[in-house]
Amino acid sequence: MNARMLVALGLLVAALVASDLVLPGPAAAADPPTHLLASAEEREDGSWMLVATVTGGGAVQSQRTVEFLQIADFFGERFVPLGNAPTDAAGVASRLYKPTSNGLQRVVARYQTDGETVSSDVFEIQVSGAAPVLASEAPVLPTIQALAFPVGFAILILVWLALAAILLRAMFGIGRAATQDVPHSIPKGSGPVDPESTRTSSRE
Amino acid sequence: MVDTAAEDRDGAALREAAFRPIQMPGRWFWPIFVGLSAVVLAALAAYVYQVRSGLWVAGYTDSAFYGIYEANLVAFIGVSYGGALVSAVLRLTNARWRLPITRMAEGMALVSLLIGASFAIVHLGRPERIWELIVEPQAGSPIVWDAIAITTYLVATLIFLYLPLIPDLAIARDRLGPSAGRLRRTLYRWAAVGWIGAPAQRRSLNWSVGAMAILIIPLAVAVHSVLAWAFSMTSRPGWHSTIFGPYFVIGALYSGVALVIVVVAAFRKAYALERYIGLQHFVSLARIMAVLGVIYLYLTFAEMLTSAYTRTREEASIVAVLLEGAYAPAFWLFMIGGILAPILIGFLPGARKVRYLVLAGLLAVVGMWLKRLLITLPASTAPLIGDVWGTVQVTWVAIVITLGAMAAIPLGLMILFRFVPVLALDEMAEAGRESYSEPVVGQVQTGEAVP
Repeated sequence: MNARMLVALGLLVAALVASDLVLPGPAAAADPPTHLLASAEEREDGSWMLVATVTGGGAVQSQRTVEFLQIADFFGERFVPLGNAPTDAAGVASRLYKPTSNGLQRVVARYQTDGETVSSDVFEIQVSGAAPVLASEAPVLPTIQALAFPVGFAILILVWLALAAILLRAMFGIGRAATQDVPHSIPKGSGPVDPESTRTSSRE
Repeated sequence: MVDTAAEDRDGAALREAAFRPIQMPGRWFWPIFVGLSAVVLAALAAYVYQVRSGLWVAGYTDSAFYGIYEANLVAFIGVSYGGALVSAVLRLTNARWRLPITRMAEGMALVSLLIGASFAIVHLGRPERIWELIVEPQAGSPIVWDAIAITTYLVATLIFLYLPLIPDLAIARDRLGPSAGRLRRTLYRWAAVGWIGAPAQRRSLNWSVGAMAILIIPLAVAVHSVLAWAFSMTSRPGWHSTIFGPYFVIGALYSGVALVIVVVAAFRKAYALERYIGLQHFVSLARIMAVLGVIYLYLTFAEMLTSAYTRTREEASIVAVLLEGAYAPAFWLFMIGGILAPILIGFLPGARKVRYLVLAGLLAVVGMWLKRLLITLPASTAPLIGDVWGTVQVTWVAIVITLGAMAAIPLGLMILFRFVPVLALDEMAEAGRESYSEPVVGQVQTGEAVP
């Protein structure tokens, strides 16, 4: 085998290697499945920082939306949205949550990828420093309840009595006077409207 | 002698006009009746489907719990209050020009109230549970008071329509012959309660009608305030407002007068009542509507200004979504088409033609319905936890039921006036043509011929 043949053989092998025909490279590694790790940390003011980290799924994509939901038990289990947060370059999304009621709350995070939804494990937070939206008992409410309802019922009864009085006065007044023999005061005009009419008021 | 003959002719012509819907409904009556009935039946079918399937078919979700039905409830009951109050206020102020339109206004008040009140049931997912509102009422619930108020007002509206009708029913009893049919004649005989027009009867009736006109005004104001408080007693942003009571009352009056214009124009055209209802009646109604529109505009401004300046995130978000958010097109359509345009048309001397004034009325009615949607939807979809807004879905079920309710108003009025005179016959005859048609003189001066 002369040197020219060796060079030609070498070029052929190199070309084949380069074209992956002879020595195919390792199979393209499948992206690891996407995972969502979520947690929460309580702050001094009673609010909670909800954090979710997207792992796996190939290159981390920023500005993807993570949705935080509370799992509420209200006529059955249902999801109450707490809000959304975008992922940063490290795949971390976080948002502040200000609970409005105390007690144990179950929270879950969701991550929307192209065509599938990945949920985190449900985690629990024990809320004790919530700032309630509603006062547990409005200070003037007992007074209103003590006064307004009796007054409201009294007005209602008076209105119904007035309605009954007005109607009955008209009915009895008209009925009593109907026995009096006085001319009928129907509008001025001659003859019945209906040409077929055979009945006219006897009092006319 | 000549005067007596003329009065006789006037009286006969007036009766003929008032009984026209009963005796000669016209060729168009039955086609329109069948058409409107078909729409109402379709709505009933859609409601049955909704009851069987659940409220989700009407677009209700956890995050959009008040839909189009609540807006319908407020809008239809609102126009009812407007119709009754217009009639009562004009009666108390002895505005005699009201006489030819008062029956239509009172009829419209009753029919629209019946339809509006039915939406309190339509928007319940479990309508059979309304029974529990009666047997187990919670005195602290605005809904209980709402039901009591609407029921009370319904009875008052019925009495307010019925009392001035008694002399007219007696005339129908005495004047309409066998062609009226047995049902009508029995109804007239029973409902006229022996009216013969005796002075003592007239005194009793006048006292009762006057007392009813006085009572129905505070009643209507109170009842619509209670309806408003059903919203404002909640802590939801957009609803928790101190001016909601007067805001709803003025809105009801505004839309009610607007619908009176439309209804009067429709019946005037359909039954050729131009001799009794002239341009000036529409001009007067349009002026009242425009003044109420200005007050409503002011209250809208006051409501939005104070909400925008609270710096509360929830309140401000409602204002933002109305002014520049998802609801902005509807809001600005309401502001321009539903408020500003009717006010301008109502005040502009150049727009004093019946068709323009009817257009103004239609714009106001549609605009105010839109406004009721803008009151209910943004606040009911605003998030209290987190910041995700609910989505309103407008489904075919909700649309068909709403269209059915809209069709039910003219249908109900057509049926009502097949049984009772469309004009306040006795009052008009007593007052004399000059008194109620006096404003029509201005009609000739403004260029429109009096038929």
